[in-house]
Amino acid sequence: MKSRWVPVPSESSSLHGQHLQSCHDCCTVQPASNVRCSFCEHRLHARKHHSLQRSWIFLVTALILYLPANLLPIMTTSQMGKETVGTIAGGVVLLWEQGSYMIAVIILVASLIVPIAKFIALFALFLSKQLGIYRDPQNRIIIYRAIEFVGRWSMVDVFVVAFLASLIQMGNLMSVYPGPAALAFAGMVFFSMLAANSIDPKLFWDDDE
Amino acid sequence: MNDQLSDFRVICHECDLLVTVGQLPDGHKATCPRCGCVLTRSVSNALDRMLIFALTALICLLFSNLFAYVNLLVQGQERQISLLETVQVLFELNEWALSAFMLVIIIGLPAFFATLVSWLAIAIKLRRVSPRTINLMRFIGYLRFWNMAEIFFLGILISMVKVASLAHIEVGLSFWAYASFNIFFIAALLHYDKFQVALAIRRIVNEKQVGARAV
Repeated sequence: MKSRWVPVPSESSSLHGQHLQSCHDCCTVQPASNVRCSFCEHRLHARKHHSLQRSWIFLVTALILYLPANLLPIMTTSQMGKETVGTIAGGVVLLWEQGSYMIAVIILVASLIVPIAKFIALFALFLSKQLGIYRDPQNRIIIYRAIEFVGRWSMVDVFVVAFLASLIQMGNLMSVYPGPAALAFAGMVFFSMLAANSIDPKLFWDDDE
Repeated sequence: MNDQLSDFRVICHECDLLVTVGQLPDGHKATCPRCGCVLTRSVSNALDRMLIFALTALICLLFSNLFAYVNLLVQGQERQISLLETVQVLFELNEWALSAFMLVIIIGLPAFFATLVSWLAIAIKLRRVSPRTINLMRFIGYLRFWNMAEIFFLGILISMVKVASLAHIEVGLSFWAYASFNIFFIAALLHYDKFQVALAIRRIVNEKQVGARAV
């Protein structure tokens, strides 16, 4: 695909505090003084309200849930009357030892590395914005997009547990039960998605820091 | 209400830059000159395609609920489950929260999304839109954010490889239906361009107003 764009020369700077804004829902460009959209009448706001504060709260909630998600068992396997309780990290080690390197790596990346990387990236964005350091918006936007893109994929671990628990119910022969960590992990992903979504990327381009 | 020119101006949703997009030829996309994010894509017959993909996805989803999607064989014992049974088994294990989550993510939300997108496309095609139609778009936007059907599908694949070393596992008819559903669903998602849809709605409303004034 070729890209075509023609920037408007006179208005090509950041519009924050200037005279135009666009409706988040119907994309109508209109005067910044409008409180409600001239077309769809939704409430307008140039920036998401309390973007960073909300994002902080969601991030802290996600961090708190990350502890039980990793410390509590995510899955209990009972085979011939023997019960094995497994945590996320334990599962990765087990898979590696069994020779399923591919899956071990996927689970390791999706459930341990990605959430931690995401927490660090979000902290970095907050610090960069709130302290006004490392201001290059291009770098910030790359981090922001990476966080936005990657967030949902961590949920794969919860789906694996839910799927295995529903499929493997063969009584004494072999049964799998979801552990409390599954729900904590789902909550962790949920809140970290909210944290990423609460950030208003337009803030990165504002130079009022 | 809107002059023709303002229809072709977009404010970048990531960096707030005002960009004149112009009338995009089919197969072109407009990117923000400053932050590089895609502002809008113009695809020929995007609305028709979106409608067809969404309806096909809906039919595939319906079919994938009718049969078992995996068969498990361990020491002569066989077990088959369907998508709804996945939800049901979790509920019977008293994992009601996980069960509700699965129901919403693997069936409810995609079905709701595909229905609403089809509805929206039909409404635009029949020109039965008003500024209130934007509410529907807004809701579709929320659903799109929480869509995780393809991640569940990845989860099935991972689990199957995991189980394959312990037991014999076969895919059922619904597995293929669910796989096709995912393909058509993603195709429908990719054809949903907020700016283009909103532009179509704004144009129709505008034309109706001009028509009303002429009468």
